[in-house]
Amino acid sequence: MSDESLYIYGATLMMVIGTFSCRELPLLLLRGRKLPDWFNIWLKYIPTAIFGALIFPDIFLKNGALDFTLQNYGLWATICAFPIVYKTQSLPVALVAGTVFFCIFKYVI
Amino acid sequence: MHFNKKVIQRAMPIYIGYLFLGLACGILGQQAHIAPIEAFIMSILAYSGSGQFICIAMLLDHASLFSILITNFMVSLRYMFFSTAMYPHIKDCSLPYSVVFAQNVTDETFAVNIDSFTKDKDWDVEQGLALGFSPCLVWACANFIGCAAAAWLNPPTELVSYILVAMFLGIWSGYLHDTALLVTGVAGGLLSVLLSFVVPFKLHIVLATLIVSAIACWLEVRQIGE
Repeated sequence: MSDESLYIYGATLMMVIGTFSCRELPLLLLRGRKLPDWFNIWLKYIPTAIFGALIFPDIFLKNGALDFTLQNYGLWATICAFPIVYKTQSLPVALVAGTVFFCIFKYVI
Repeated sequence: MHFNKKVIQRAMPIYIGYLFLGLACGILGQQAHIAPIEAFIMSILAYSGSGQFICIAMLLDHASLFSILITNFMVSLRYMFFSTAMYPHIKDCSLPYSVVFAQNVTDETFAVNIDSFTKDKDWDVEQGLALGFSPCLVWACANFIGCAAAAWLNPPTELVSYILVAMFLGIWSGYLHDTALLVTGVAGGLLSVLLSFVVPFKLHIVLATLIVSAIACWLEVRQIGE
């Protein structure tokens, strides 16, 4: 097996451990007891924090350094698309708006 | 598992959604050098939409396996809430059955299942499991097809990696119900950029998420207490 396949199967195993433990732990440990209130509040803030933490480095950094040049198409496409995406809160709209703005910055400007 | 017409009717919007998302996920996965069969296996075993998209982004970034594990664990924490809410309906089943049932809980199958259990007195765990598992097959097959098609179509890498960002943007926007959530997300993003300069193994994503969500939670708990 190549190193690359090994890496991908390793990642799959990590995914299985991560999702399996979260799905099964409440059944095995809590046996139906209620989760504490602070846990539910914390849970509410995790998705927004995680997606912010994923998106920002992707758009602001190129090869590990901040890039505010016009050649960083993803950054400008995201800034233009964000108001529309925020207003509609729609995944298909995000895909279309993001792709259209990216192509405008890359091929037109 | 009882697969019938009612299950298909209720699951139809999920099938359609997973078909298109699965094709997209397969295409992106191919960019991270995932083979179609690997995409299929990952989809069956992990069965987590946003989890798999995030995993692909991290594979493209050559993140460490530990970092992938912790990030995936955190994205999956919401399943704890779903499993807990589903518990009253599956508590009379055998342990293996309830384990399999919980493994087929996703955002979408949870929403439709909990709605069916509450409103339809003829709805049972057998149909519930069919409603959880059949979209998994659609998701896995769509991943396989997308991955195989991408190898053949060879789409431009730069654009495809940006589509992954656009997808995260779309998923993120679904969580932005109030200003506190928006501020938390932006703070997580900025902290993640800062941390990326100093922490190794791509752990900045996990650390930024943990720190910012913990502060937001602490602020809200304190506010409720006052």
